[in-house]
Amino acid sequence: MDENPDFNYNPKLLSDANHDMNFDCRDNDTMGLYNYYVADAPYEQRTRQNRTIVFQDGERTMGYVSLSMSDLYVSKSEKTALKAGEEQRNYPSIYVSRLAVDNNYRGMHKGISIMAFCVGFAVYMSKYLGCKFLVLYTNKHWHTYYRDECGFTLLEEIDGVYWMLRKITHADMGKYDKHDQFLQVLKSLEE
Amino acid sequence: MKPKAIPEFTGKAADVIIEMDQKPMRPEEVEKIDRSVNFFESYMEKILKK
Repeated sequence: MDENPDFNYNPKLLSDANHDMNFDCRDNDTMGLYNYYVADAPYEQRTRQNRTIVFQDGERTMGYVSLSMSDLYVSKSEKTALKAGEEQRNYPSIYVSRLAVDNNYRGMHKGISIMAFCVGFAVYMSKYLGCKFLVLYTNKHWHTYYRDECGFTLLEEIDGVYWMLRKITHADMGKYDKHDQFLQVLKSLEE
Repeated sequence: MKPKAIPEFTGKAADVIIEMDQKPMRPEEVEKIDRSVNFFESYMEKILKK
């Protein structure tokens, strides 16, 4: 793995001004991520169904991620007990609904960097809102990437949809909370 | 492929979530997370130097 990746890009909230129509992630796009970026992301941005953050290399968008708040619901099972009288429990989470990297930036660990941004974002948000996990869905092709490169655990495969989870750990909190750098990055999103 | 919503997890998946919440992570899981955190810190340094 490249220990000195090139991070020469900036996160920005998706807007009309930076909606880069040259962005192309159609190579091996088994998740429909290009169509989402082109057609749906601006609407969901306006309606706050999702918030899409684009990562720019100069004027070019090299990747994007769409995030929303979510809740994981679990039911009591035979193996794992919940508290007495508790039949169901919810875990507040950040839903990583889409993540894509432009064809020309593949193989440079950009996806890992974007996911690291998401972890930092989740840790930061957990100061103010309950947030215990990052959750995403993917497919058979990509689930090993999230497992092996991003520390996600496969929860369940339902009709070809692979649901995956990553816990926000105390280690994450210690590392991300020790400085307010992330606040500066969040502010830069609005500029 | 777009599922309608995050499903309610039952059975083994529920066990995974609850155990993950309650138990410390395995060393190899921590190593993966440390790696992504290290990426993030390098990333922060690059951005803030601009």
